[in-house]
Amino acid sequence: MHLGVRATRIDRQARQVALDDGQVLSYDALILATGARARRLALPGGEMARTLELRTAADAEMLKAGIAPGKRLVIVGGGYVGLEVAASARALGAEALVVEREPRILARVAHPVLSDFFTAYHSKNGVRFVLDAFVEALEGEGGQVTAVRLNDGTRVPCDLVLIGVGALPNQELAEEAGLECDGGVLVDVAARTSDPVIFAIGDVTRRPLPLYRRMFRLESVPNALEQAKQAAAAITGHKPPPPEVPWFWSDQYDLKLQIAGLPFDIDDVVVRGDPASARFAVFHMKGDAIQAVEAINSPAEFMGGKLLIGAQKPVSRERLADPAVSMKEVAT
Amino acid sequence: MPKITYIEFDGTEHTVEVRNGLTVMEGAIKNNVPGIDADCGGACACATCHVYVDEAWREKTGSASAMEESMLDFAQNVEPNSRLSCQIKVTDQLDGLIVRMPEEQH
Repeated sequence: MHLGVRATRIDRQARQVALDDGQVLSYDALILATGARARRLALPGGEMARTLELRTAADAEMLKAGIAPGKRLVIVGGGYVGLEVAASARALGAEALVVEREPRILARVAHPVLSDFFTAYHSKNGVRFVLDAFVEALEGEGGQVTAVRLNDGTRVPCDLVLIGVGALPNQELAEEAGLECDGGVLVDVAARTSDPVIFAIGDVTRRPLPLYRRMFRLESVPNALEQAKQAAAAITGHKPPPPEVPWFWSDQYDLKLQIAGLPFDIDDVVVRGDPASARFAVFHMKGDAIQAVEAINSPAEFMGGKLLIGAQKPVSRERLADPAVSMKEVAT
Repeated sequence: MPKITYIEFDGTEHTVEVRNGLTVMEGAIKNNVPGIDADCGGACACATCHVYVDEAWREKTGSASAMEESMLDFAQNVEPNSRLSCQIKVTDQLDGLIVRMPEEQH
């Protein structure tokens, strides 16, 4: 293991990787797992202290150190990172204000039923939202942020700013080596790049999703694990893992959100259960097949939905919409 | 430290010491015991840390929560002594615990 060093260059001809401490490593197979980095906003004042992002353990430590009862936290971006931090901040007694550019939170990643539900649940827990708005600048004193200025001129005083507006793949090393990249390092179902002895896994890749017949960049723990299995199987000559149903989760307050599949090519949704009970699931349908499920405090809907998505098995919408029919029964 | 014995599907035994407060799942992962995937890292979100608790230990390990039950319901080859190992906290009372792993976690 070489810790505290960076790989600076891949020499594909010689099959060698150069490190920034001068060492050169030879390889028979190479795996790129360089991940993604937080997207930065070019905001005036954005370089000030107490303007944080959340990608690494060190980021999390800094964030935790800054959150305390009464502290005012502004969160830029109403995605999963922003919402999870908002929930944690409230639990620790801090104030949380979420600024989201779109007219609804989770706009890019979730169904409006879910956006509405999370907005209501967070509001009930004291989180404030400014939607359809963006931060124009950060203001501060002595290099420390003290307020954000919104696009309508509103000035919001704060003690801490968290920016959670997405991630960018760390694909520079691959690009410089001439590997094919397009919003991520392009790989096949075995996690192989355009060079047959170089593999890439995790957030840095754009990979095929056989179930959905397209390429996509997934940012999730299960995806990183799955591609690790694909690459390991290919390199060691073992049987590849079966095609998986991508899945995700998010814990906020006492809510467990579990998502299986991706809502591509959908016609409409079937909602099972009542959002007001904080226990429901949104099934994204393509005809009578489930493409994705977003399940709140509904593990059976998640597990059953995941099975049905993988099997691409048609289901009865009436039965799916009826919580009196168990997911086991729906799935068989 | 409590000792826990993990038995792989093929019968291979691993007896390791696990610190109090960790989960039975974490005990396996931290000691490189194969057979438990734990894809979600212990959030009770994936059902890939399925184990069979040895009959003698079922009472001491307690019973599954409603959430865990629902997740297990859709796991493969579930038995009455099936548990998700991320939901079993290690204490001195579990010194000597024996769990067996299923053939696969997916």
